[in-house]
Amino acid sequence: MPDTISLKIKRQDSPDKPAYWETFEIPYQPNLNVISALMEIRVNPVTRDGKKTTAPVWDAACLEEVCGSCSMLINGRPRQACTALIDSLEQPIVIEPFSKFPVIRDLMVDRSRMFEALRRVKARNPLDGTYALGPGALVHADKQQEMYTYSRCMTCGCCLEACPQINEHSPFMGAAVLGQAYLFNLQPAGSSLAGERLDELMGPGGHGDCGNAQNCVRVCPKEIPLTDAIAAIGRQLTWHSIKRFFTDPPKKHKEVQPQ
Amino acid sequence: MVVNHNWPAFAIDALTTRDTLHGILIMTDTRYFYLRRLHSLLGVIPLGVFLINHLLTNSTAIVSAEFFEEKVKLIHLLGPALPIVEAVLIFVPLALHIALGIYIATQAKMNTSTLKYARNYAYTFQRITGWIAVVYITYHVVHLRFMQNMEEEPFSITLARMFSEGIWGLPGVVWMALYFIGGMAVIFHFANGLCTFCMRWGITVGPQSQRRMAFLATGVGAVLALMLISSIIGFARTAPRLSEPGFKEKLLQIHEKKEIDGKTMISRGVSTHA
Repeated sequence: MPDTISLKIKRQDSPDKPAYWETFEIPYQPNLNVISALMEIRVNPVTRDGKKTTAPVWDAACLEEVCGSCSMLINGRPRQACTALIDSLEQPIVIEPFSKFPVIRDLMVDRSRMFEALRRVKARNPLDGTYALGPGALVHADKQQEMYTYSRCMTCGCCLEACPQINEHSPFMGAAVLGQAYLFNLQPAGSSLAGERLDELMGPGGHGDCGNAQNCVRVCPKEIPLTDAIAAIGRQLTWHSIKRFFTDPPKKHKEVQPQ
Repeated sequence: MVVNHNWPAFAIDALTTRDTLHGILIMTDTRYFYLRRLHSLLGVIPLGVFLINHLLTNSTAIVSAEFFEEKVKLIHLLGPALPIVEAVLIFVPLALHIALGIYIATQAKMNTSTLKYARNYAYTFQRITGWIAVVYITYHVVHLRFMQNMEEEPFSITLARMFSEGIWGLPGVVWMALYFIGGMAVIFHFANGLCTFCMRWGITVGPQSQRRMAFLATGVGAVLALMLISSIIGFARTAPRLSEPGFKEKLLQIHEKKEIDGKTMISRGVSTHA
């Protein structure tokens, strides 16, 4: 058993500054995770070579793999730092921020492109209104189970990070969004927007940009069957695109602007 | 954009989202989606169908040069319609598939070094074999379709010479290797393309059905690979007959005969090695 834990961290002071590497060594303790190791470094931010430095910055909230905010590259693999146990990792542990998102500082990245994509595909139930809509439709238990599987998505971004189709040359929105679009197309209330959702997924960055590398489903910490959703959306789009080719989108009544 | 806050939340949402994105025209632009589906479809129909037919024809070279030339003649029975059929069913779809394919390949950022999964390797190989196929098919078409004069020299003779004594300063073994590598790249690209076609169009939904399709595609690929090997060996085995007197004339005669029926068809039994 080694008596120290060594961590090689990719640092970046601000979005426009260049990245650099720093190696830290902390005394060995059993049952640490990457977050607690980072906290240990924060107590005394001195590199292995004895250089005094700033404490590394990272994002974290729930510490139980539910929020997705502490997602980072740990030994090259996209995952959550909170469930990355030091004892199960090869040393030196190489920690990098996600490479497919803008870095804010050190290990903290801006994942807002995923939230924008969720808004774009209307991954929500259109229930807001001025009067009560009554009880929702009954859903069969099997369908509930399937919906639950997809509802576990925490928008952590691991699937985007692992995807070879996500980079500066492609506008792909990523697997998580396709999974959520599939979920809301399944839901009785959400399905009322299915057509609009599919229209968006035919647009730039939609289903067409998927390259079937299937890394998304391999790295998903919540084990969401993302490739099933992508194939199922593909099937929905096969019919929808034929329909769209021969039928114009429904005319919408122009909203009257109040004075 | 005036956003009225009496509007339901989803309307405000939709409007502000549109503002932050590239505007309604680009957002509703479905061109790329249709092109990507077209690329996927062209790879199977007509290009995949043509590949199977092409390898099936060539694999008959292992029977005899005469038998192979008979099969070539079947295609050439189309006569003046052949260039049109070729253009519509092969060259135009091929050019489109290549153009879209290059665009797709340049978008990829391969990561098999960190994520060593079978499908990720397949994704990377699909792009690598695509590039190999572009180079190989371009050479192959220019050499054997446009430089070849069938009325002067039948394919069997050109290929037999290429695979034995070699041409253009390259020995026969190298040509055989190049044809094997080029052919295998095309076969992998097609077999894996069958799997991704089924994923893209939503034909195979779920890992089990996708695995079944992968087995099926591997089978198709293996059969095609056998046909490729049988063609290469077939043409190489024709080489000793190059010195046979009147061999070339005999093959040319096959193409000169107008009719194809039981009498004039050179069957397996008639062709004998001297």
